[in-house]
Amino acid sequence: MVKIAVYGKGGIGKSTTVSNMSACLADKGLKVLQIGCDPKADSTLSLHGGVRLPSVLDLIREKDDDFTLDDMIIKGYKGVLCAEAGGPVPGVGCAGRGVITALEKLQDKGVYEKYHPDVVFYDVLGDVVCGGFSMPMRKGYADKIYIVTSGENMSIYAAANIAAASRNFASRGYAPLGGFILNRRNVKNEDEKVKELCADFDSKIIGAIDRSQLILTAEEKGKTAVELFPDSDIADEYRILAENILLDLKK
Amino acid sequence: MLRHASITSIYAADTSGVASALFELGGLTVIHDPSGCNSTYTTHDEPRWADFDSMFYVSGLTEKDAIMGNDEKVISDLAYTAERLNPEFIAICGSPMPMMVGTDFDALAYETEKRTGIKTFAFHTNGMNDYISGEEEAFYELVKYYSIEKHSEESGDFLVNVIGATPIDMTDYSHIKSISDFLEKHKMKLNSCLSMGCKIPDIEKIPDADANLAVSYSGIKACEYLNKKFGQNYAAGLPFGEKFSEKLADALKSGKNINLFNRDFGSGFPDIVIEGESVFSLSLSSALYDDFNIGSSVICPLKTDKNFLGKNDFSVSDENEEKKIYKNFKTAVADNLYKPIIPKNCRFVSLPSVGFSGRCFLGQIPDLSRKSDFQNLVKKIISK
Repeated sequence: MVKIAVYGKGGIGKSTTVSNMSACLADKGLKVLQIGCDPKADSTLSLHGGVRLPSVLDLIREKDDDFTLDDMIIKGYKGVLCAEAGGPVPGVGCAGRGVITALEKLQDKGVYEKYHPDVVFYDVLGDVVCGGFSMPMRKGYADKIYIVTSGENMSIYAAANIAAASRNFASRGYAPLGGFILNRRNVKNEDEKVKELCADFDSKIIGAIDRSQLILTAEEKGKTAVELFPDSDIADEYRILAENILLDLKK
Repeated sequence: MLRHASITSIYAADTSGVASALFELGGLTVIHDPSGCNSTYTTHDEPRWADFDSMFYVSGLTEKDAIMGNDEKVISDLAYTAERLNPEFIAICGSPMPMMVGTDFDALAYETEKRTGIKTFAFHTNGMNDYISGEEEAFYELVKYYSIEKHSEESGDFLVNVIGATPIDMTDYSHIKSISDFLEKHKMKLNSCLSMGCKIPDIEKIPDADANLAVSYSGIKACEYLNKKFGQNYAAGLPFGEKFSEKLADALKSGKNINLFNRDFGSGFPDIVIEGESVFSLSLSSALYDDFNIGSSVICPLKTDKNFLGKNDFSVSDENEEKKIYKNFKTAVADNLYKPIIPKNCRFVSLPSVGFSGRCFLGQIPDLSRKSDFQNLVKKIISK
């Protein structure tokens, strides 16, 4: 089992990227578990037809501890196991603490022992703004983290902040930075800017995804591009990215 | 599960459980907490506080440090203090505030151990769970780290470790002596008692024993680990009454893990209910049945294994639920602080425990492993 945490600025395409990678790996016959770590609970939508599933925190709110592992998980495209951490009511409570509670609940209920996934993705909300959002990097969770960024300045700043947090946490035994995922927005000097970011953190671009209308078309239909357009170039780019990450984790 | 209490007391919390499990072991234990509560962990819930020193501190967490995530302060304080006190180990325990800000205790322990070179345990207490949870984690981590291999050749004696002993359940050392006497009577010998009358070398020699006796539910997880690692079988129970004690001795010698709490009183509710820690209460219930054919139900308000409980037993910790349950019985055997919720037509028999009423009724807590104390309690239960 390998565990991967994916971070990046809000709206940069983390959930799209992770869901497409999950679909690629499921196509290869791997058992994939994708856990959305975002109060919006929308990480896995394109893996199960855009249908909302009850988040872990929804279940805790409604049933305390009186629910099973199967209540938290639904099977999406080619058996991808989908879970959403969820969060408190917007504007109150503590979203970061919610992520901790949700991941602990999944672990306590035996998600890794029961399903034996080959690959686990933690799709984590935006920036590492508090302890809760560092949870997927903590010991026992992800093996490595990957940061999605474009060449847009705000995205690069956010990616640099996350990478710096990862570097600061090295003394704690947290998951190290595996690399950056370039999600192109076709801005000027995009590749150069992200390569510069990589150099600052002695890291690398682990894969790149071109801007494509096919991704948006697939999302509108509640599916991944890999599922809807399996023979497209964009599907190949996701396959290469997923392969590169698995190879990187084997090193 | 609801855990409401407005009239009755509450059980000692997980933090007190860890503190009690570690009290005698020579470690430096720090509760990551704003301060003011050290007396709760180590005096109110800890009868040994006046007998000898033990290195317990609170970190003095401030609001600013919590908000800013200034973990460096507690790590450097731990390193500074450990350098001067040279403890056997360092233990850091959580409390409500660090729980709310998501403090990573494993990371604090990892960094502290790297910096000091002293084994550092992280205990994930938050003050919201009962003492069984804290003790359970402490006993499990202790045997995982210190009980590494068998040391001695076969001694010829049948050696037994007592696992899960703290004054929260066992009150004082005389109760451990009674358990030791029970073992001797049945041609067995106490090897180590985790953790009353216990130092680190005693934990290291735990693998030398033939079997383990869990005297509280808090010892079960450590027993299961030792069963897997060294093949030591275990039994949960306390040697109350003659026949149940015989069963317990046989179970220890059987080489198997046997659940002794399978009581079947036929249909309908018994007249008597016992409330308390599961291994203690179920041992008492079993002993009443085995020696006197008296059926009784058990209310367990603490963490336990539902497989231990029978069809007439209850796992509840909500006062309103408890009140409803008591209405079904003619006699209630429970800590004195439950008395206000016992219905008037239900006879109350006092059976205090440190875990619920602290030191309030310390002198009234019987040692039911002693024949005279057990028989006195039985008389009170069956007298009309």
